[in-house]
Amino acid sequence: MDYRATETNGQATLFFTGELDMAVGDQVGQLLQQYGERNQAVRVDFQNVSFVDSSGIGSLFFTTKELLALGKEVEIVNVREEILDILHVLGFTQALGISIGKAE
Amino acid sequence: MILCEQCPNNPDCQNCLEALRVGNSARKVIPPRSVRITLLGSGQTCQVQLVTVSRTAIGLYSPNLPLHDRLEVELADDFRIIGTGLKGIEGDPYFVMDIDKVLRRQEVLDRLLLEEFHTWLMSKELDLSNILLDWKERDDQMSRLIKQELQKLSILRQVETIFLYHYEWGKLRSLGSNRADPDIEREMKRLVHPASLTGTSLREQLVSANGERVFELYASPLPDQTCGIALIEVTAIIMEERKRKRREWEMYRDLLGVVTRNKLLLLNDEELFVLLREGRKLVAMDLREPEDLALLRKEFRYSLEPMKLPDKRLLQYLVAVNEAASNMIKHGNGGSIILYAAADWSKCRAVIHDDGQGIVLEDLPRATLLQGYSTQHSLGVGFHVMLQYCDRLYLGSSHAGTKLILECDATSCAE
Repeated sequence: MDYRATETNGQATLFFTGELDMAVGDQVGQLLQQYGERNQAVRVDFQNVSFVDSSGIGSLFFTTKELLALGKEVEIVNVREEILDILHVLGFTQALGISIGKAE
Repeated sequence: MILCEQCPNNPDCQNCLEALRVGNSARKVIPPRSVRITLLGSGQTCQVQLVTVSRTAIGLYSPNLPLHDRLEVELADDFRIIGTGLKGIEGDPYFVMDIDKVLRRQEVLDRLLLEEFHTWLMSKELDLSNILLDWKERDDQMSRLIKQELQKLSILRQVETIFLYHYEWGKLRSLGSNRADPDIEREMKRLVHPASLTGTSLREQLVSANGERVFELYASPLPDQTCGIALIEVTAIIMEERKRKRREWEMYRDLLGVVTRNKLLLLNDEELFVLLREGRKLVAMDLREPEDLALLRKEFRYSLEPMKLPDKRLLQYLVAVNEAASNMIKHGNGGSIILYAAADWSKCRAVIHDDGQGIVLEDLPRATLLQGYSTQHSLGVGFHVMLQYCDRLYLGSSHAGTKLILECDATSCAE
């Protein structure tokens, strides 16, 4: 998994690339936390995410929950259809109630 | 009629039994067991003595609380009796409860099964140390008294054979005419010797040389570095427990089959063997670290190409396999995974063999019925995904570990 990030006027965007599995789950959560702490809103771009599992996005899920509780804004964008399907089955989207955008 | 002073220990008195009014089927509970009751009207709880039992009524000694109400008697978390209490013997705090329902695990019965009751009675820890520690003089008279005391315990009367011994400086002396087989006595001496020196009590299970008989060994050290020993044959009890486990397993199998519309199937060892005999092996991997998962997915993608699964379907199957593998790494000590495919590529099966504790049978209904991060985030989610993304899940569990099999049909559609 690789990532890059941009930050502008309290808005951060995290671009993840590759497979989000158990091996990188904690790292993904830490990155979101790090950018979430110093920005009001974080957009997580899944355009180049080709695989997710419950361990890979577990930490992302809990960090998102914490940020939402702190009044921050989190959205996940550009999610491929097949990845979105997995997120639905994992209960990720329903439990968080956040905006998840399909890839165009 | 009155309650005798030794109730229920006096074999000449039947008053407590007669008060149940159930004929000859009632039995005394010797020694009486302390059980918790709840008055269902007021919610008041109290410890009382369970003195007599029968299939339709039980007798309770309750000096502190009158039991004229609907009440629940708790033998264990999953073993409760509900009924109506009424005066058993006028002038004595002895009450009879007519049984309405018996809640035993998932079953609701209108009778108390005495076999179940005896299993419960026997499951209580046996502590002989109080009796044996008082044994300071080793004359025959004392030996007889000890034996009489032990045999008063109904728990010991349920077992097939009891051998009593005294151990002193490497010598084992039988306190009765019965002796265990020489191989058992040798093993007993080996185990008891260090316990007698350190003064620690000992409880061990012994198996006969031919593997057909099982014994529980209880050794209580005495102050003079000798030991009192009770050796109890528990072969029949263990057989009964195995039967009970088997019934429980069948119940889980049926329940999970219904709940998952036969998507999750529990297999016994033979069925598992037959299933695994089919197909040819494509991939075999050991999994220990999270980093192994990426290689697993890569190997599976490559090996399953001839099956020509649509991309989305293949991804879903990989997610399911990956969840099972992640669970194994997360909860156990790792394990192995083998991928098989049918000769005509009509289906494939991934067999996950967990070296650790694996999947606990009792957790399965919850894991299959609940879903999503809002409820739990480990096994629950993983299992839900497996059920969604596989055509069938087979689970085989035995003393050799747990095997989970994830099956995918070439013709199946994505959920």
